[in-house]
Amino acid sequence: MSLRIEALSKTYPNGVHALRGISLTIEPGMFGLLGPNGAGKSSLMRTIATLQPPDAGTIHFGDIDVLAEPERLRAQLGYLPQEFGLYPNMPADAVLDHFASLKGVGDRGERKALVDRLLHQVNLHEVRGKSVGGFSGGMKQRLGIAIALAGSPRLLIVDEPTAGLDPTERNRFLNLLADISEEVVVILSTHIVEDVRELCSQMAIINQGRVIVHGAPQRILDEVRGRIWRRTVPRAQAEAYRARHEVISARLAAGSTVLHVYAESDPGDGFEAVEPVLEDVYFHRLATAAGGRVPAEA
Amino acid sequence: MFGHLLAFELRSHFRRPVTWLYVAIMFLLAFFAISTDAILIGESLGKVKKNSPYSLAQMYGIMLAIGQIITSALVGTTVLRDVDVGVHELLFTTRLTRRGYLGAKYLAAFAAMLLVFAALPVGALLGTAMPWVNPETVQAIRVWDYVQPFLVIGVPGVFFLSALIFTTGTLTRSAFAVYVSGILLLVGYSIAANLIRTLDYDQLANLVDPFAIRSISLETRYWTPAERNTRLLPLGSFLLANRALWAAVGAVLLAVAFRFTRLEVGAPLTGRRRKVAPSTTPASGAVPVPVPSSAPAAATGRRRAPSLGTAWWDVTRFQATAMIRSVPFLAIAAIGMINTIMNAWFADQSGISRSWPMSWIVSESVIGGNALFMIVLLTFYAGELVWRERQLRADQVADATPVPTAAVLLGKYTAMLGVLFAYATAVMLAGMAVPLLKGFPVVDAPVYLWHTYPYDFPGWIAMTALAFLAQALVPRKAIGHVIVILVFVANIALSNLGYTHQLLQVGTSPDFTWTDLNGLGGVLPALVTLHGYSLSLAAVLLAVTYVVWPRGTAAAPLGVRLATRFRRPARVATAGGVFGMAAFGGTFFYNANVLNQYESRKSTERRQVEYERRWRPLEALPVPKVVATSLAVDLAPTARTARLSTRYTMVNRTDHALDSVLVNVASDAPGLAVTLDSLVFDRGATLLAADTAFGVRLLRLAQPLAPGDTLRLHVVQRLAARGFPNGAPDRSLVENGTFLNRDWFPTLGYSQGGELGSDELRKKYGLPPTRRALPRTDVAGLQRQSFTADADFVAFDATVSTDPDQIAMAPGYLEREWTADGRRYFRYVMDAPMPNFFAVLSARWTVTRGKWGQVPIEVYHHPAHRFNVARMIEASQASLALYTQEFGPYQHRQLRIVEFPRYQGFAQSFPNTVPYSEGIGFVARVDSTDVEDTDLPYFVTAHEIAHQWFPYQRMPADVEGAQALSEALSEYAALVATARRHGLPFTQKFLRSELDGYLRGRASETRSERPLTRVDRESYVWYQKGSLALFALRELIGEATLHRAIRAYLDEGRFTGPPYATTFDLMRHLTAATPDSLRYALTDYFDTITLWDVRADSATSRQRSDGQYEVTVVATAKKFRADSLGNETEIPMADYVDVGVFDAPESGARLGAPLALQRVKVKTGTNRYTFVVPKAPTRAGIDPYTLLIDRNPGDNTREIRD
Repeated sequence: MSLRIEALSKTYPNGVHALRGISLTIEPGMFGLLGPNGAGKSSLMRTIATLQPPDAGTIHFGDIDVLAEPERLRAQLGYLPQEFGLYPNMPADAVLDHFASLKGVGDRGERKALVDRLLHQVNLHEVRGKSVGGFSGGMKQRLGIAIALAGSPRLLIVDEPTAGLDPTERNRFLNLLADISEEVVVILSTHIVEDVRELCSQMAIINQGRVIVHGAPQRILDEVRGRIWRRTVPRAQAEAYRARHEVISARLAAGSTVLHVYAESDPGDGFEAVEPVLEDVYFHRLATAAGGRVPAEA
Repeated sequence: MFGHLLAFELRSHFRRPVTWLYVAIMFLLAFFAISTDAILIGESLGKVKKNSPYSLAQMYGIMLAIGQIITSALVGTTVLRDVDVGVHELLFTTRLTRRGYLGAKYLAAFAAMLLVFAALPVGALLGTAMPWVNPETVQAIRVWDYVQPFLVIGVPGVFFLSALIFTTGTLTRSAFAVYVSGILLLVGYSIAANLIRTLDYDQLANLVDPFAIRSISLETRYWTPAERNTRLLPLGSFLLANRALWAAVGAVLLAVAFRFTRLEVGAPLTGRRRKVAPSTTPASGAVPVPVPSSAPAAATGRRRAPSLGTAWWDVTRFQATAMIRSVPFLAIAAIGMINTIMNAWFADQSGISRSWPMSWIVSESVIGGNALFMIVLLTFYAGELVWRERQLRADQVADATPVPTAAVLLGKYTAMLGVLFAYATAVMLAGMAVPLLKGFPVVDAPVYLWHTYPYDFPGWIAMTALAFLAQALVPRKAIGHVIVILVFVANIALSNLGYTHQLLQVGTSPDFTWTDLNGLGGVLPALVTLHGYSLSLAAVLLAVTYVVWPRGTAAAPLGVRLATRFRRPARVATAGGVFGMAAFGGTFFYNANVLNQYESRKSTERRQVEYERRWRPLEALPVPKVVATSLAVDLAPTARTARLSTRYTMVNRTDHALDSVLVNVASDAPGLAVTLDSLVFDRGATLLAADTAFGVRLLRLAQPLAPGDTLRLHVVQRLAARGFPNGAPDRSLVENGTFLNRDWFPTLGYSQGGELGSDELRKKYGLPPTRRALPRTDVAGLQRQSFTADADFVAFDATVSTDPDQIAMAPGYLEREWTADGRRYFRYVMDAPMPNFFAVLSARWTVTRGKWGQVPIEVYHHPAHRFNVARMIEASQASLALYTQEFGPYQHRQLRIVEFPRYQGFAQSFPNTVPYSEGIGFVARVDSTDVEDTDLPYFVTAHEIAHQWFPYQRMPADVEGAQALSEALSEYAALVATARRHGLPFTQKFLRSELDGYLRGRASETRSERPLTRVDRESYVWYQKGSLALFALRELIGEATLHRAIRAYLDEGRFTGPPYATTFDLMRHLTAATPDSLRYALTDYFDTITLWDVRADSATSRQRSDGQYEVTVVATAKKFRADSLGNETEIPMADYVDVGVFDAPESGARLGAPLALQRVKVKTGTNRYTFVVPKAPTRAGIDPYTLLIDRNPGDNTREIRD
């Protein structure tokens, strides 16, 4: 069952063009969505999650016309927004139970077992009776994940889910996702480029409401393999190099600046070839899309 | 730094909506407590005005006690919040000092609490100014009356309470501890109150009361109502000590907080942390807990959206739980609960009289007092429920689930209703507990259930739907709150403006009064119709709410929502609701406007004006006098129909022939159709004019009625219940407890009763001011009886039939009783002359019998209303004996006291028959051990029986002063009868209350006051001044002399007339009995408006060498004469007044036994009086028993100083 998005457009009443004709086809498995702040990632995810109607375009999930039959999609959906809150004066298990019920787990016994299992999975079982209001950011995030997973979704949309998590929790969460993603379409939006490379079979980079790259991470890396060059220069000289080369990223390391440049062939000037990482593709594509250079300390 | 933090804290208090919610609660409580009777804060006030400094001080004190919950919520959270949200880590790492931090926190919280409590005086002030305020319950606004008690009671109280909660909060950092400390304070207060009551240490009782409620009553315990109304709270010994103590305790608590609070994170004194510790996780990246591989990946089965029913139930359960777990909800509910219990506790007291806590008294007070809290809860929590997910930012998570939108809306709606239902139930149960706690073991559960559920609750269902719609439509919650409040205000405002049609009001209930006699009183059809209308409206509102219900982050345009949501179920609901509104609304309209006539206030006024314009020109038309009345009344109370056949025998008493007669018959009443079957004279007559709307018929006799000639009239009317009206139906003819008064039977001649009464309105319609009574020399007036102007003394008989299980009753001697055609017949024949004043009653009564000599005394009452039946019989026996001995024989052979439903709350004396409302004497609670108890049933019975003498033995003429001959003499006779039973304390208290009633009555006179002998419509003159005047005269000339004079007045003209009696006749006998030296009193009390001002300036005592005490009283006296407008002129005084010295009083009484009492001639000015008494005296003064009409009777005596 795949998710097919065609020519999706959305302009907000305040004039912001959030989506400009986005088309994507997403097969079961993990799908990474990359893009800078304000690129339209959240708008796209909310639109898929039936929370807001687009101005134009279609979304199909399997045989479901999502825009015409949002109820049918919601029955298959797990959604974790970027920012959310929960009922602060209610205990965690009651909140989870409530959402499981909203998601159609009607049988009380089944729901109780599900809540138990999910709380174990997100490691909140010990604090299930405590009010959510007293939870730390990470705990709340984990509860949100449990809610998203409840009801066996076939489409899971998670918007920057690992933001508040410590490395242990992050791993645990990503493993969970990996576990279920064989039959489920998982859309994972993130800022952490490495997450995408490690976990996602497919990915897209969007910027200013458009898809600028779409494909398997490996294939996308192939695009730039052999064209990424690196040199460490003193900080004071970075500007000079920037003028001479197509610098896609500049990072401070031990008082010097590590420059990555994109070039079809060896740019000379002391640059050495490096094995590209996804980040290089990301910055290269953003720079190309913006038609210019990335900021100095990007 | 400190100033900045303080400003920041203050701003955050003022920006928090809940602060304003608390302000609003306080404001509304005070506002409605003053402007309506729906809310009662503290004891029932009787004659003390609601906006007197005393009442306001009490209100502030009680609200301090109730409002400590708000203090806990507001002050408690200010401390805990920093820790809760984690700001403390930022704050405590700045250069802030501990003292600066705590100081700013406390000052800001204290200021916010002062703001909350300041809403009380503001609400009270605005409430007083509302146009619908009952003017009898308030006095003219003096702003300082509102402010001064707030400064004395409120500010120190808030200081202490805030300090207590603040200290608890900072030291424990536990919300639980904060709330517990507040509740412990309340519990401790009431326990201490009970302990100390048994010990009788005033100062101790005063000091243990942080709210100063007891200090107020101790400080003012010897104040008259007048003083309570006028005097500001003095910082006397009680109040000053109390306020100083609790302010000091507050300061000590703060010092403790400042000394011992630690700012370090995680270092509260108790070591508790509110945060849940993060669960342990291993440091490595390994996942320790095995994740079942089946896990959530079960994406195999196709999930369906939850069914509407399942999801609805889950939403209901979850949202209701979340609501009742919230602290503000619990705070409001707790305040509501306390308020309700307090209302219920005092519901059985009204003024000086107390009743048993009957289920209907408590139930009415419960739903009445609870309404405000229902409004607050539904307004506030409808907003919370609709906005909750958006506010918590859980909306995206929830909206992306497959739950049907309808399930969310309906679930939240039923959650709200469920919580309101549970709250109403809890409050009802608390109400039921009140009578039990008061030692009254009868809880009539159906009455409580009826009031709480079918009668009251459906209205809230509709209001809740409206609140949901408002919140779903508006872009901000606060706007929704305002809309809902505006709807409530509009409901009140519309009816105040005269638009009383109930279809215009949301969630309205029909007019209803539970009576033990008549139960629901046939309210069901109106109730079902109005509630059906409300519930249909709720369905429509909900359907619309569903269509506009926001879901998703950027909601679809309304058109799209309409297209996607306005589908079959919504259409069905809308159509059903609209159909229901049409059906129920149509039914209501048919009943209220078609079957019955709907009248707005305006149209009623216009009708009265029209009546007067049309018929008043015939006012001077002479009428023949009724000399015999014969009734045949057939009542069918179950069917609510009746046939009234009235036969009058009339004589032309004028000296010229009468060619036409004006006859008034009853016309339609709300819910009761009246048909005139026939109106025939014993000679030919033609109808000149008929006015069915007013029931007026003008007939020309074929042969004029010659002087002295006799004319017979036979009128047959039929009464039948007809649907239900808008507002209150006429409740004369009911299933059990029919009371057809004189108005249902024909009268002759133009009646002023149909005229517009208010002079203000009359002016608006261009009518002359209302007429005053005729002078005592008016020839025509002297020929008429004062309240049955168309009759002389009559011969009377009545045959009354009713349903077989009821007794039918009319004045007269019961001659025969039989059953025919399945109906029960009673024949009453009067064996003594009587005025043409009668009534017909019917009900299922229990009869309790007694006897006075040969006269049977019967009390017809509801089987459960036995409380005072024996007392009424005893009062009847004593009254008959006393009045017979003092004023002459009783003219009848039977005496009956008959209970009627409490739709009206009076007792009324007909010849040998006294209808008595179940709402007054029958459920009165008389505590014979309490000297302060006025024993209302005894007194009222004695008063009504006195009417058999005054006026029925000598009828007053239709001129000024008539009521003095009827009411003043009866009131005095009843005072004598009751005083014989209850002694001096009763007399003292009664006279005080009569004096107060008179002074208040004259203060609120809108026309002009009249002397007793010329009294017109001034009830405070004929009742209160009447008994004062006659009692004062009795003290001066002696009881035997006075009674001989009254007896002589009756003897002079028993059962004679016309001409009828005037106050000239009474005064002639009183004057003859009064020695010259005392006749000034007749002028002062009876013929003029006279006031005295006497006071004790000082009272000192000195023990003499022989062990006796020499007491010196210095007293000042003045006397004034007032004109009809109240302008006073001082006149010289040389009157006999008591001056005396008193022993310590027994508990409860104001004065002890007199150690010395002299009647001395007191002249204007300051005089010195010396006494020698054997015992150490406690009090001395002038006119101690307040026989003079004195506006400040409280300063007549004073405590003796050495």
